[in-house]
Amino acid sequence: MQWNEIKTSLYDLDYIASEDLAMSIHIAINLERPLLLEGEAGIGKTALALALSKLYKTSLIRLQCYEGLDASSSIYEWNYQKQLLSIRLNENKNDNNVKIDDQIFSKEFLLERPLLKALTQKKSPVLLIDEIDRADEEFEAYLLEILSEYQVSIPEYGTIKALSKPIVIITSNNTRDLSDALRRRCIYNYVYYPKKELELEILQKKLPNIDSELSRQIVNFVQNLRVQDIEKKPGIAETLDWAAAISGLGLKDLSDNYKVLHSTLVCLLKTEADKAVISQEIAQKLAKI
Amino acid sequence: MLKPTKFLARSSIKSRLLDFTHHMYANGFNTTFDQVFQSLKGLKHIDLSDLNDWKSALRSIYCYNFQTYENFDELFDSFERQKNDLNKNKNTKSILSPIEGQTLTNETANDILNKDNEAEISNETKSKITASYLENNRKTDLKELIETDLQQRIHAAVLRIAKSIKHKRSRRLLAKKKGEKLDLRKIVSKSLAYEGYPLKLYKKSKPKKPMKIVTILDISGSMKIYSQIFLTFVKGLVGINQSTEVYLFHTRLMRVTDYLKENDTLKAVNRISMLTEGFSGGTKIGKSLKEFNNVYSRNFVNGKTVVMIISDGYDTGSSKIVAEELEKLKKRNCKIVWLNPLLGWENYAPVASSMKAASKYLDLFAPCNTLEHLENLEKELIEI
Repeated sequence: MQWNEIKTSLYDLDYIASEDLAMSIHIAINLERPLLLEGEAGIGKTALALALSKLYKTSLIRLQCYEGLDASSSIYEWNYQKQLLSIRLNENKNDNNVKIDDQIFSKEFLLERPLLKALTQKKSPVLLIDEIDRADEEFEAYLLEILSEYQVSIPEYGTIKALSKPIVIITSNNTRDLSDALRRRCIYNYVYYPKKELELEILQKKLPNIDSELSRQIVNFVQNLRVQDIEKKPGIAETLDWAAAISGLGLKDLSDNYKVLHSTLVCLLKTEADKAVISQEIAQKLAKI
Repeated sequence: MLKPTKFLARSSIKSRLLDFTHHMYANGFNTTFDQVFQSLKGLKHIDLSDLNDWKSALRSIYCYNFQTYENFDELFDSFERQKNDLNKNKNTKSILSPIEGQTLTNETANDILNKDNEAEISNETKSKITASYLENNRKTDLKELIETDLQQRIHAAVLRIAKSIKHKRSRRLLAKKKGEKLDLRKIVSKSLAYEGYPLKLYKKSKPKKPMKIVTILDISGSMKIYSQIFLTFVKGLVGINQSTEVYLFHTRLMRVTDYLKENDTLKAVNRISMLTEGFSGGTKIGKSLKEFNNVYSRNFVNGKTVVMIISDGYDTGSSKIVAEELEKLKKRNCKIVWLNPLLGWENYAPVASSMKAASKYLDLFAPCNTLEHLENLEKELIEI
């Protein structure tokens, strides 16, 4: 599949990718490399993984990263309780200990966490490692073997190689810098806020019931809002929420009722400081531009 | 500023990619041979006759962070332009120009590298290299021969400073022999060896997390006389702790961390002198801090960061912005240290409006006009 075919297929699945992003996906899949996506929150990085899993008709395995995430929660863990029970059950039998060791460190006692699970699928799944910047730097080291060799080494068991190489999507919101070692192993794409035309296309695709003139006004407003001096700029997810709210309240035009318009801005503005900056008057001006 | 590259009149895709990789490396990209290899593999999957496809594919492979992603297009275009200029008279194809019907073979890395690259350097190219070298020497005003003993003293001071702000306690628990809490998971797993009886108790405690230093250095006219010492100082910090971030400002901000990772101090200072050439007069502390907050602070500043601003506080911009931006920065839970060379002067009071506005957000406000001051920073930094 060529990059433009990927773009078209994603479009059919309601995901509108820029040409640049489609090329990165194409290259990452063909080179069997993870795709590292950076960019502001709410611009469709996570949604891409879901769309890709639909495109390739495969499962999506998601690992949500957080501070303190370690190998036992992300790669594998031995089922200790089951191992203890097994030892107890075998206590009175005359089998030698070596056999018990072999038994309790077998696949039956291995709890697969998302990363190992992704390697043991028959059909290449889409593995989403979401918000990797939230995990500790040490966790990136765990990932290196998996991402470069597509294998996991378990001291008691051996090395498990991928049955089929997963399509790996790693997302980061830039809250900390990732290590060079991880970056080097990935195909990189920085997802910007969409341009006006692309955002309008997304809005019309996702919410086809909204009048085209109102859609244009909504996109214009959000684009203007993004250039204001605010702490959290609204992403596409916020635009869609806001558009749904505007439509749900029955507004046919943004200039219909500025008071209602201002009250709906809670969908776009996520901090108290931003709400203070965008007063009703400023919102009115932004709607008129 | 784009660095001129030694272009070779090559014809094959592999040679062009190697030229391109050199060009990117010369302009601050951390390129590796793996990228050339991946590019060769990746180019098999695109339409080679479309320059935009080339650009998009190489962008995905050569970029690795936001900064490189932002600069890529400019560097790609400059490479294309310069190569076109070079080839105009030779009636040959441009560097990454459409190549219809050309296919790639699976030649190995060594095959590519073993080709004799130097044979094809034209006289025209040679003259370009000489010109750029001469130009290079003219621009090295900041490096004015840093004396060896001065370098050593600065290095010693830097070592002590780095040590004083090395660690911070973390909230996470990690295994430790004499830890504060029992590590139940480990106790259960290790008890398997004793038939499930927890004979050995394992403990864990909160580890010390390394602190990061972010230095924002004023290189405006009023700070020029101190530039030599401070650049050596920050170079030393980067040398000791590779996670140290360095930014220079004037009327705008520039990240120079990667350039300071050069082993040779003189070379590093020289490269920075070239980079900062385009800066115009005046100092805009507020604007520069705003740029830092908007672009970089999210990546590099958190509760485990000490932000060290080195400036005399003389600002041609608004002091209100300085206060606003410092407040935003402070919200990231970092420590802010302001080193002011003027503070070491007798009867100095921070009357500059920006300095006044900044003072309430600072964890430490210290002088730094002599080496002794830098050396004494250690004690004060331990306390913050």
